[in-house]
Amino acid sequence: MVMRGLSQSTQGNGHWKGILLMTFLVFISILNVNFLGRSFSLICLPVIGICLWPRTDGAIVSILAILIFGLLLDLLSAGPLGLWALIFLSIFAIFRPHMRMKSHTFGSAFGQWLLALSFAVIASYFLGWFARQSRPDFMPLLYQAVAATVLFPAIYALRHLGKNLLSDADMRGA
Amino acid sequence: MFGSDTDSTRASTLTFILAFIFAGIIFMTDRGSDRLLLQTQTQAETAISPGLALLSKPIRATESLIANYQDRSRAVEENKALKEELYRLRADKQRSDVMAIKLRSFEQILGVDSSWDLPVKKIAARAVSEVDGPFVRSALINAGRNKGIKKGHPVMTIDGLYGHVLRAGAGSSRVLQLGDLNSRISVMSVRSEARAILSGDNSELPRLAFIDDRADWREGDKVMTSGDDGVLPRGLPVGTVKADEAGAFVVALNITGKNIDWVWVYPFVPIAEPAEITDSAGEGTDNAVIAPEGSGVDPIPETPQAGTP
Repeated sequence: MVMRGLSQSTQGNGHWKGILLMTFLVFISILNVNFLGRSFSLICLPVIGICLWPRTDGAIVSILAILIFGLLLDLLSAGPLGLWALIFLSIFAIFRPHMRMKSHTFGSAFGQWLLALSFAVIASYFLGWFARQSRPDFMPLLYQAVAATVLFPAIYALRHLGKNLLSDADMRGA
Repeated sequence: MFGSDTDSTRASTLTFILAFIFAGIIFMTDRGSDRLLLQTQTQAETAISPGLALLSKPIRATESLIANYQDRSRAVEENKALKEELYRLRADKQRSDVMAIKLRSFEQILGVDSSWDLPVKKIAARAVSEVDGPFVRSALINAGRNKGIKKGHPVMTIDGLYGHVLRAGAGSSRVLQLGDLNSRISVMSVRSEARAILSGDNSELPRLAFIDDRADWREGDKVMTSGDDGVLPRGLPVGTVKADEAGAFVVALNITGKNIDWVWVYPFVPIAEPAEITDSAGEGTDNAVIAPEGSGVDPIPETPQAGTP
């Protein structure tokens, strides 16, 4: 599991874009949305931010930022402290989004998102079970996952737009 | 384990391992009632509450717009239903007025006060964040100690009881919803006054626990707080009793499926512990005997003072 190894052309301090996206997603994720008489929690949304983490050689800053965002989400969602921090770090280590060799297409990003989401749902189910000492209801987790998946294209488009607006020409595609 | 042996890679790998261990330790030590970093949590919530209030405004506005559109689409039938309800409520109001006069007379005759303990004052707040997850059901409201909110205060919506304040920060409060796993409140049936404990289980339908064998609970019963716990006031509407697949009684909460935007907090003062009353009543009355007037018994026995025969 290599935490570094980008080509020189993609190295840079791009992690601040990831931090910006994660800040936005963490805030949004603790707001619930009521739709068709049902309340949808978007707690899985920040996982998109991990999947779309920009390519950068600043792995240490990225790891620390992801740890802090995980803890922040735990604090603000009043859930078991450390649960999302562990999940975020695990997803970052498994998928190593900062080290991908080429820019995501929508298809590849969506595929990675589905894998990461599945991992996050399963991990949160078992970690939550362990933390609360009672078997959690799986349906709310499923609703959260579906709600986040529905919003994935919008977040992807937003991220793509932000990348084009904020990056210089050399860094586009990062 | 983490691949190539450059200094930067080794540092990244070490950082990752340390971060993972740190998160793991926090996760392991957070289990239990005494939550780690409780103060940090309250401060973080207070700091983030204004931002969340700002972010939630367009979402709530959109929800209201959709709700308004839905209301307009069924305005005619709703108008008819409301008229019917109005006629029924007029009759109920008349009956209620007559009952109030009778009750006042009985109170005067008996010299008792049967008024309910619902506080008149309400503190309005906005629910800026709501978590309906499998592990926790809570909300963050943008009012805290600055508005007089304290731990334990009941939180209401227009539809009924929403929960109670779990912790109050300087400018925000965390509210534990009725459906949360840790929520336990004493409730009663409006019809039969049967008592039970409404026990949250992180589902949409919290269950009625500790039901006495003789208690008369039925499907369709309206449920309200009983006030027996001395923590919540009596008479706050909660929901309606249903039977689940196993035949156990659960409660369909009044607030389920409703848009939670504005809430209000009752600054209810719980019943004080007996020990506190004794302490504040003054010293030297511990051995006091309360006796009815005219019984011939001295209510406070004379105790010999020190130095007197």
